[in-house]
Amino acid sequence: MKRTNRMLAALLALTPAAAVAQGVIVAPHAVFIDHATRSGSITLYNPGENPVEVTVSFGFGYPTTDSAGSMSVEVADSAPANEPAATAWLQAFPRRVTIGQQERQTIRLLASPPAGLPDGEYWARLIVGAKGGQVPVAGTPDSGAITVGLTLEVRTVIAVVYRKGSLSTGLTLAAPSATYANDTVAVRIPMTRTGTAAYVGTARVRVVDAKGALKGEDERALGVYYTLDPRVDIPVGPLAPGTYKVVVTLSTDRGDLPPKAVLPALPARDSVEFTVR
Amino acid sequence: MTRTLLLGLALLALPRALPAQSVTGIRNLTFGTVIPGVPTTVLQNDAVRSGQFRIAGVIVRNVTIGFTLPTVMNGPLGATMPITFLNNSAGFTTVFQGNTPFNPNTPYNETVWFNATITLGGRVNPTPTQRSGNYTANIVMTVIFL
Repeated sequence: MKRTNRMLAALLALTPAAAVAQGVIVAPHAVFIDHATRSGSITLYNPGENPVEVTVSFGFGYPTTDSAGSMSVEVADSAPANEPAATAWLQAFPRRVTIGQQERQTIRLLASPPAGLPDGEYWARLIVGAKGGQVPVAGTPDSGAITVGLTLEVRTVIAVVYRKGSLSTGLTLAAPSATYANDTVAVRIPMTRTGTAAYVGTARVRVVDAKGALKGEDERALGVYYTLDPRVDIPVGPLAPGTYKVVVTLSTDRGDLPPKAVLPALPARDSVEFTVR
Repeated sequence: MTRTLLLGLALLALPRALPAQSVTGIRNLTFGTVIPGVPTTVLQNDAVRSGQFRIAGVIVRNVTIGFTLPTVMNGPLGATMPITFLNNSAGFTTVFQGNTPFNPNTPYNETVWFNATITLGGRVNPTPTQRSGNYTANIVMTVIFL
């Protein structure tokens, strides 16, 4: 079964409650726009039983890691002057829409880059806000009682990438490190992007013993815009004394994205050993 | 089950290569009736009154979860009531990870496996002379897919 179908199956099997909630399903996971068409789209679906008010806007941000290896994205309304940002010249149509129950809506994204835009990759973040109808707070106002309730609004933020010209990407993988504590192997993977575009791919980490038997593994989507040094925690349970190896493989394989959207690059691979006494 | 099937059919009808993710509000945060002068707390793991969100449609994705939280709620005739969120007022749960409290006042980074449930509690402080009526505010949860 293709990965896309597996994911849809997981979504359906594991989230029946979402079908009655307020919010929207956003597809795809990221939007890639090329300079030739200068347009893209996303599809929204309201699985709930009530209309949802949706707003679409743009911000700027990309994944970074802190000293502990925790990964995050800080999304700002506008980009710093030295960043390759598409935020200022992307538009969404419509920007505000009400989606009825179990209805779909296509949002068109149009780019109007400045004349003479140099070849390169330009980034933005698409922010989809969804708000359900106001839910009345229980209680009667003239009863003398005080009643309190707070309503929920959700925002989904995905990447938008605009590409012009022939681009390349790659990764330089510095030596990974691994530590074992509390039945978990913590792996740090320091990476530096090369080329002219962000590295979009997958990181796979395997922990094996001296005989090659698998003790634990992890696989996650990866976007390296400049540098990244994430910490990946792999639960392995109690390990017997001995030497173990952590194998890190980075590739541009991304089953959740259209193949044309992923710039190819040679896989990067490295390993590190650690000892349990 | 029927609605789930409809959701599945709708998703399968999406254009090819459009894997989808969803962030939904499942349940509002509700304090119910409070007593003037008596602070009331709803724990994030309260099965009935806590606010609840869900992230779904991913296999394994790193996300940053942020909240825009009110400091006061608006009531009748311009009356307000303070509300606070403590450093353990939110919780994160996945199929592989039990409820893990976190601070909703700062961005929280996690890994979502298939789906995740985020719960939110809080504390309201009505004054002894708090005007009666309904008090409401809006909570925004932002999920950034890395």
